[in-house]
Amino acid sequence: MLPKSRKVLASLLAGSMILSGCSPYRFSTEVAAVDTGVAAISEAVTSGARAARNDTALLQRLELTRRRFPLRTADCATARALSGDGAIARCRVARRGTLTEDEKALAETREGNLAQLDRVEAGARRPIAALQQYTAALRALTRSEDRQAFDAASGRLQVSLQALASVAGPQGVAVAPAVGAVAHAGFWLVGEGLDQERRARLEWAVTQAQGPVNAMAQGPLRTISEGLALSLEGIAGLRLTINADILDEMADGITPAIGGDAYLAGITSLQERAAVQDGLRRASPRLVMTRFVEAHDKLVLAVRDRNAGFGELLVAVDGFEEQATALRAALSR
Amino acid sequence: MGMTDLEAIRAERDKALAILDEMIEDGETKLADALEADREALKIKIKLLRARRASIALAAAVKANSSQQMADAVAELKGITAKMTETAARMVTVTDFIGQASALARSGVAVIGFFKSGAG
Repeated sequence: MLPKSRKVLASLLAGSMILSGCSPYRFSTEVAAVDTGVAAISEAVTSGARAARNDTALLQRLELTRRRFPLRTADCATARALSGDGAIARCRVARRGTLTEDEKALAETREGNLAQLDRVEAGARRPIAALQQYTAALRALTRSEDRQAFDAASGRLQVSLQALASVAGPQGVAVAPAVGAVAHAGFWLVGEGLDQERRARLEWAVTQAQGPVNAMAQGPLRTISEGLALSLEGIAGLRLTINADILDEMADGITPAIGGDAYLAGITSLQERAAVQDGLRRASPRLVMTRFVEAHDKLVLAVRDRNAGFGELLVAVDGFEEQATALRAALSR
Repeated sequence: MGMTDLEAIRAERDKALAILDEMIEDGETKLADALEADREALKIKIKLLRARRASIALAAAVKANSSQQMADAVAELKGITAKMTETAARMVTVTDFIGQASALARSGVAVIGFFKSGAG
């Protein structure tokens, strides 16, 4: 979340920039905020998946400890490849003895969910990397101070746009050639040429990433964002269901038979875990990804006509960064 | 995978999840009033439905990041979710719930299979 002071400062800065009509670092603050938000999404996937694995292990400890089942280990002796995708079976702790049909189905489903979680995390890696590459290149462009930095950032942008289109698949738009230089070389000496080129290259890049105007079904950013929303919802969904089981196990373990201190500690842990569950229930990956697309759309509009769209850009960027940070916090807790 | 395919995945996933959510909530309500003899059986059924719920959400996410096309497979998934609705409607009493929850969970497996295969 942006501190209030930063929002006020950004608004004042925006006003002064609009009045003066020029800026050596146009859109650098806003692009940096989008880049930060995308990094938070990346961390939400990684830390959310890690927390889901930890929760699964905790749930097993709670279930086994409460019932004092005899134990064994499974699939720990050899690197046994599973059929199909070549995944290696997990070395795991399991119950000894005969399981009912439901117990067996539950154990297999949970084990399958962990394997699926690995696939979701791996599948999200490529689109996230493409998004991060893109927003980092935009950031470098808006902060380029000389011709050398500008050329390097332009090259990174071209590559990142191709990566975005590639990840989006056939629905991704083809990347058009970069716009040519718009300023006479002489202007570079006074900085105005750089400012013009930076704005022109920024407009070209964000338009390419956005895709055709008014075509919601097209455009690499929309396609990638919807795919990532489904991935994040899968991770959040797993955490929600495991946590529901953990809450039940914890509650069942707090009985009049345990001592006063253990009872108090049990309630404290239960309340903390309930707060985690509330955070997960409130988290909305799809809203975060929608906010990302909206912030990018506002960037496109503001770059085309700064005076008309800069205020809306600030609001959209703040909203996205705030939501992305909240999602990371909820999934990693 | 285009936006149309992704939206189809989301729509069918949500239908399947809604059926399971309703049954999970119903099971939790039944658990609160259940006889001690039924409680353990009910608890494991609820856990199984929750785990299947997670499986469906994860399978949809895996499918979304695959390069396969959905083709006409959505129609097949609609048939599976219709069967889930039918089974869920029979889970009225605690005894019904204990008896039918496994069947509902198995229907959930069919949904997962759909997302994994693309079926088209």
